[in-house]
Amino acid sequence: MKVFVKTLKGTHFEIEVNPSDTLSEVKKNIETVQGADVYPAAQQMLIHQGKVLKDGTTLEENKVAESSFIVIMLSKTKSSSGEGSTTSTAPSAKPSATPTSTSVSTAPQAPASTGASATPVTAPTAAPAPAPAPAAPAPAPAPIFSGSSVRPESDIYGQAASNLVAGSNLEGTIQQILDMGGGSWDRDTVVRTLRAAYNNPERAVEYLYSGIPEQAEAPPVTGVPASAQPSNPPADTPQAAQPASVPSSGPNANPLDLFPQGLPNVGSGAAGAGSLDFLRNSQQFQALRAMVQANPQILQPMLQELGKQNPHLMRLIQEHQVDFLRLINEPVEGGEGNILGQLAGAMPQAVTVTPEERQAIERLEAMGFDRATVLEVYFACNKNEELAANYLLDHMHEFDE
Amino acid sequence: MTLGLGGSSVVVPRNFRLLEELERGEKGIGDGTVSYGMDDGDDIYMRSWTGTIIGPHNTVHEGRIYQLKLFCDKDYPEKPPSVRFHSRVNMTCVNHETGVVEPKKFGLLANWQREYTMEDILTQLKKEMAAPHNRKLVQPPEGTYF
Repeated sequence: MKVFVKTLKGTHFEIEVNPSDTLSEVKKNIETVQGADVYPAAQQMLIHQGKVLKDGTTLEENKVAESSFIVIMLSKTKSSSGEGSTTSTAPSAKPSATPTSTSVSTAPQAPASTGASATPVTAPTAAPAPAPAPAAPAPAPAPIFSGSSVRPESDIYGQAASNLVAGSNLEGTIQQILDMGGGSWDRDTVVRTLRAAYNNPERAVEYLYSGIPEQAEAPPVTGVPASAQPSNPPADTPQAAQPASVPSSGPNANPLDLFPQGLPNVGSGAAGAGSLDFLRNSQQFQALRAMVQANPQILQPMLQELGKQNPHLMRLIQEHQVDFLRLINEPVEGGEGNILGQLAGAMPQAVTVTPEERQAIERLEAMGFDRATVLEVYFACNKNEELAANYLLDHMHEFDE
Repeated sequence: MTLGLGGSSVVVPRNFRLLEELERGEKGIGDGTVSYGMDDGDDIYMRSWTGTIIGPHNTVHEGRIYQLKLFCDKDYPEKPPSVRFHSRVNMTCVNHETGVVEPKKFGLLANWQREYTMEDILTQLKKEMAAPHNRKLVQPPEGTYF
């Protein structure tokens, strides 16, 4: 019999099956017809009339008849990064935002082509946060900037520092998790779980459902433990000797070089609240701040890029994390709206787009926004569809006016 | 749903209405991101239904499949069906313990009209997932159920 398979892209194709075929066989059939690179059987999920079809069952059992429609979607692939998942029971656990000591010591050396920063940076020690209430001391926030500046490009957003909460955000997150549990978790449990999850709320929720793994339930450290040091220090030397990656001469070669003319004369040992105040007057920093406030997830990739291009400044930021966070959280004069205008003003008026970009623009339009707004936001967000969608949805009331 | 008949209007009986919805569910709705069908083919009253919503793009729900149960009582479509998430989800209109979609917090159920369908409910819930107050909420692990 013929069955129609509908894809989430709006297309559909038909396959020839028997009522006695199991779902595993149907999935293999689809993989063969459509290609293993397009629809790998292991990732296929088939839905029929509101039911997710299970592999062991047959089409007949699921009442899939001649000319029935089945919806196909691909489940997300499990990321196979060096950092292990949190628990064996939670298959969808995200990689840890802060690698465990074992993964630090056994991590292979980054290849020279990745353009690591000229100076190796060690992870800063986490200072204990002031307790918001005497009853429940807040956990020490995890280091905001990870030491390694080389990460797989695809995983940058998942490991962004914005996933971690601290200070006033921490209290709100605890409350949000408590609300989510509907009273099934007490405050102490949530605080303990957040501590074990290094203040990553998504991971904390996973721990609440599946239990805290033993290795995660260590007390918060106030210094870098000996085990976290690389077990083979000489191996770092070749990496340190590598020159910083030389940027190309294109127009956007140094998007994050905040100080092309060189750093102001600030000693790296300078302490005090005003040690990063010179950043406030930099137009590039103001633009960066506006972008980060519009979408906090871009902070980590931006800092990694900055680490490659301006290691001196990066070291300064790491030495004065609190000042940097204070600066980055200061309200932008004139609001976010004008930064979009500035970015749009700098754009050429005639642009060519690839078919993929055109599809992204059409998808954004399909969300209910007019083409002009979509184009402006899409290019202002450097052709990042997700960033553009976030901006459009967050500011939809402004576009309606 | 009413049928014009020489100036008067005839209300479509419950079973006819549900048969229409069943037929539409079998054909596959729209882009496939929502679907529904009968839970128990032997139930002559067609009360228990099951639905799925595929999480919308650019939200925390992306790539997830949410399964729901809908129950159309004898007074459907005059009264809305009861809707309950089977898959765990964190949304403002969903009870965190039971998974029930709370009518007071979900406009479509709060302002129910007999023209509305189960498809409308699922589509609106999907839109609700993409709303600013829901699309970034931390979600329970995938594959957990109420």
